[in-house]
Amino acid sequence: MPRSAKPAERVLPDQTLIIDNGAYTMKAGFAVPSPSSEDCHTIPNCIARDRGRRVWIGAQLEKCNDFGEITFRRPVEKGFLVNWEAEKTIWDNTFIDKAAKLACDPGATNLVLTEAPNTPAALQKNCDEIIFEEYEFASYSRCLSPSLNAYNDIQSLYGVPHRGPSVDALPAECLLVIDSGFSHSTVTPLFNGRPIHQAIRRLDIGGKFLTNYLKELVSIRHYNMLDETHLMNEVKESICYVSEDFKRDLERTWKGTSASRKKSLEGERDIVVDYVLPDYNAHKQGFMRPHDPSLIAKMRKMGSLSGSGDAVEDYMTLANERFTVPELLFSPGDLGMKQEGLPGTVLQSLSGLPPSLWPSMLANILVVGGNSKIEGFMTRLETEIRQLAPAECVVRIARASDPIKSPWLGGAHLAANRTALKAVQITRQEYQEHGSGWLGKVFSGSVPR
Amino acid sequence: MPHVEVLPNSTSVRAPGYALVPDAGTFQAPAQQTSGKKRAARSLGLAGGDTTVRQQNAVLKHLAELDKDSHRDVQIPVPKDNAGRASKKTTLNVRRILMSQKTFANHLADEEAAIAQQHTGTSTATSRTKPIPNLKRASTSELQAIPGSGASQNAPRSVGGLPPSATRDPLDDDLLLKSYVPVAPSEEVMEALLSAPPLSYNAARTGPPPTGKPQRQFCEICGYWGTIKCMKCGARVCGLECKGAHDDGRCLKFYV
Repeated sequence: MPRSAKPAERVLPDQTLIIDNGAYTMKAGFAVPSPSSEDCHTIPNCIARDRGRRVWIGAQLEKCNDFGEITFRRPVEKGFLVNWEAEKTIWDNTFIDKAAKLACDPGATNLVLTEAPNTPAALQKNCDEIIFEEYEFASYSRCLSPSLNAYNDIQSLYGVPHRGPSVDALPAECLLVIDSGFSHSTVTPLFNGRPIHQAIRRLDIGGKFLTNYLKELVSIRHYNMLDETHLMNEVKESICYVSEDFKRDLERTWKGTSASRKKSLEGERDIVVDYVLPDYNAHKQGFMRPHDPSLIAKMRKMGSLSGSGDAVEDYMTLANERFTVPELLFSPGDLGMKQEGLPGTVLQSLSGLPPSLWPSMLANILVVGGNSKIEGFMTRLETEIRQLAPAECVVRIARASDPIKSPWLGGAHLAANRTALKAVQITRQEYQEHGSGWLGKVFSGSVPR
Repeated sequence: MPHVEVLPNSTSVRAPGYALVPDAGTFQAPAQQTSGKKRAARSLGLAGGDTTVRQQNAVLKHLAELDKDSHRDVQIPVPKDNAGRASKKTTLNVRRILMSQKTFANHLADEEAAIAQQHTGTSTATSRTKPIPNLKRASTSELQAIPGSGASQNAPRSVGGLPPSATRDPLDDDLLLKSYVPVAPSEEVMEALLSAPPLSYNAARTGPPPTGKPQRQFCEICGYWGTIKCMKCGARVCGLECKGAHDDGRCLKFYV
């Protein structure tokens, strides 16, 4: 950051831990000189309890193979770190426990921690106090998760040739980050790596919302899935796509009147799919396959003939659920939500900026977050932003090469540059000298450090 | 407009916590007196027909339901035995934070209350509607004063990502081909923008779309266009078949 560092004799330890603390997973890892996404570990940020009432904490879930009726307790609520009791348990398990992959001594580690935009001040204060008073990290900085993306090499995503190592250390000048995550989707304009707070906008729809909506639809139409959030998340990830032409796709998946049903199946072959549900007893994963009525008829017959055994599989046929669910990101009004879709949110965010910044922002849009992996998401977003944006402006939009780990990677790039890191970190001594009130003001930028 | 005055009599009991105060302002009487629950509910809604108060509440409830982590309320206690640092002395702050059972809704209410208090006290508030101080004035006056200097520093690099001296062509000056590149804001403007405080959680929420497009309605059962409205509960279905399925299990059976 271009803020002038205090001519201080502050010494930071060599090790830097970067945690992008999301609601669904936290992305954590130690900074290395030239970071790649392999250095980042994705750890479920939850405490889970399966139907055998066994409790799994964070990374332990890798070993769990029965996700039926599993319930989660998430310390991060609506994107904000609320419950430290649970979070401390997960962190202890991940970073303090001697056997953990990311075990570290906080006293000899710098911490870069992310938060969601517009976090209430009380939660920020809680966070600062826990970091310094409970974990006692040597130094710490709290920053907005989207803003770390600016330290990645953004221009290469747009196909612009690399500009040489001299610019690598600098954050992108103008960047509009669309972060569509688990809890919500935010639009954050960044200028030289610093967020323009007044223009940050949030759409209250994230991956969790989509999963719950799919769960509800499936529960009405197929099986009762109300307790199978984890499964429905997997279903969502494998079957959902964003339609390029919503009306056309909806017409094509119409089941037709009962009289015309037989022939109407022809045109929709590529949309209608079957999802075969997992069998946790046999350790079988669920999977998607094209819908084939004849095969199904055969299977059903076999199942009824043999009575029991492996031949019976549970599946559900999904048609318009595939695209009406992610459609919510683009038109929340479909459920009566009084918010504009993601493209409109981008424009609302721009309206908080001077118009002279619009061209640079629209030409440098970066998309991160898990929802951007939904098939067709990027095409639709680009089309709609192009329609809404002023005609003179170039619209360039790119998805980070790893949309989930992108903020972490940016943080790692920041930490690889010692002088830049030193300029943002606050040491424990400074905290003890000035207190948490001062720290909050420093991180919000109202007090120079 | 009728003037209603409560006259004290021997039977009137003053309820605790309530007080009748004289209302000096104009009293807005409902446009037409309606009788009956049905008609009253309908008259509260807007012209759309689908937006009675009850339905709006149902929509809000539904949205809140979809935003929850799990369908039921789950209580998963933190396992006790995994504490690796039990011996360490915790400070008062840490204990307070760890013991806190506040949810995000509680924190949000606190924040809103603090903002409301700020509004009534002083006028320095972080509201979206309030423009950033001096931003408007500074941007216009300065851009007029120095048309070229501010632009040459930032605009070409940030827009194209290419050095400005790439290629020059005589046709570049042609008015028809001239590209529109606005002057970048000056450093003071940017500094004011960057140092402005964050908005509150509620203020940062994106606004409703511009009016004009009616809400799309979908069949509750199959997801196709919801062209038919259930006369009993107002839910949308696509046809007779789905109406049957709706009546069987999902009709909420209250009268609108």
